[in-house]
Amino acid sequence: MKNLFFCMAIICMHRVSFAQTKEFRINPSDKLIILRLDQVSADVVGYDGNEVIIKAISKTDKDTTGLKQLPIYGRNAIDNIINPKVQQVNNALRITVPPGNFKHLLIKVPQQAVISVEMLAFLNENKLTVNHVNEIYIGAIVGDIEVNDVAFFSISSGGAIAGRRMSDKIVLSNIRWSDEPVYLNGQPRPRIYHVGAGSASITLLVPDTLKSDIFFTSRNGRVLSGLQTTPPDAATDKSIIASQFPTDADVRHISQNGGGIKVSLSNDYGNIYLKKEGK
Amino acid sequence: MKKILIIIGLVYVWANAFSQKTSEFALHGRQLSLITKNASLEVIGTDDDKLIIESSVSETLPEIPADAAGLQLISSSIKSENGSFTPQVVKYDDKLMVINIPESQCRHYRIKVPKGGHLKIAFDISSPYGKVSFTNLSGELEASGNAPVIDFSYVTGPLTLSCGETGFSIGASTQINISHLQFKNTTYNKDTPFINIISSYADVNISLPSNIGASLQVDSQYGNLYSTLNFVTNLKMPPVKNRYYGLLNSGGRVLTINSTYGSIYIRGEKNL
Repeated sequence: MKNLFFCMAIICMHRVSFAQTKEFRINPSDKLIILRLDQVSADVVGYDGNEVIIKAISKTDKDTTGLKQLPIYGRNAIDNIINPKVQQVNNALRITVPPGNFKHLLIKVPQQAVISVEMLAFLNENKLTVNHVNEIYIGAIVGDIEVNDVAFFSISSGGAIAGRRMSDKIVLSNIRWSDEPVYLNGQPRPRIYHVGAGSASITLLVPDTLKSDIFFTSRNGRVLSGLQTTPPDAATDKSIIASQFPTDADVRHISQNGGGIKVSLSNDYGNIYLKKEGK
Repeated sequence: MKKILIIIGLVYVWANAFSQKTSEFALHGRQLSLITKNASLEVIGTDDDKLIIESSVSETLPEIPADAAGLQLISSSIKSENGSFTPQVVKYDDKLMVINIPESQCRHYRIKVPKGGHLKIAFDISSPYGKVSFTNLSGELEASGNAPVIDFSYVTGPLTLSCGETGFSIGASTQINISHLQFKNTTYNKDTPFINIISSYADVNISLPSNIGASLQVDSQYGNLYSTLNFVTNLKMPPVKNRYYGLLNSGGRVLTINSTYGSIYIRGEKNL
């Protein structure tokens, strides 16, 4: 029995690797990369390369001009050293970056990769930005989320952590819209662009030429639109209602240019803004 | 069926007979304890010995950012308000009056209280648009609860703000602002902190005159502490992890702030 535990421990140590570094690099063999981030802001950027590169950078999240920082005892100086843990999980590579003496991460990812960000960051100034990646899945409690130039997004912000005012703002722009199926665990699924938020406002920019069906509910907020759409009516697409919205949500629907690409947006508090995207 | 409708009608009329848009209570020097839920509050100290609660519908609409101008409202789940409420006197004796204002069709109250009285107040706001403010209070103030923004101005202290014990459905406080503190309270006890703030997630902004004496204790596990004032680290105090002890002009009234995930900003304001 003792030998068995010993063998299991050795196997686990082998499967989880650690690194303490200023710049972490890994060449993932999997398309799905899971990033677990804790108490930090992050910029996730797709680039024309094969490696995932993680670097802590000095970046001020909030304007503190004219203010002097006073020393809180026991705090280590910023050294921007990160200590990522890497695990192989089914068909994905999971990289966990524990909190350290840094405030902001720059994470470069292969632009064709599928990225999942799991993030808890409780400072009001914490922010997640995602730019120029293929598919992005986000489950986060963080101040603001900005997603720009992606082919697919699925965002859940908020959750079971009581006491945090979830996220403040979620902004989505320059989406590379498509109605091709997305693949999850090798299985094709309908492509439904999704944001489900707690108290965050949601701002979605949509080109006026896009054929789209937008399903939405804002439980205690307002929905404002600058799009040329059909008047809102009660949503009837049960597959979307059941899979994308809380069971008791009053889901509404609008379509632009006769309908097409499906988008679902929901929040409990905060408004939803649908804006026309400039050329 | 007809009977049921009549009963429902009678219940509705009965309920509305007790709801109102202004309430007054004579306090006669009693300590006041107020309990509120999901409503913004504007608490103002006055020279009267009365508690006056007024509803205000017009100030409750969510703010629409300037960059959303020109968008058309296509759906709203903002619950309608008629400004009526039904305060309940929970306890009333020689020393204390406890009033509960249940969640109602009013989500903004202007509450006038005797400015020198001892006030305890509990609030809990889920909406990200809520705000609680206190001004012109020279008695002891014990506030507990969560609101996106909590403002204190022209208060004499001692002031205590805590997160409260009631379960909140959505959020904690995000921003706590304290300005125009009144340092001329001659009756304060040196062992009692002038202000004592306990918060999990809020950023705390405090304005202080640069010429007053203050002893500062800040605890924050993840937030930072910034100031424009000449605080000097108090090296006489034993070091405690994640804590800062500082003295302004060799020390004076005690300010304690504990915000696990919030940063603290202390700025100068006009000298006394």
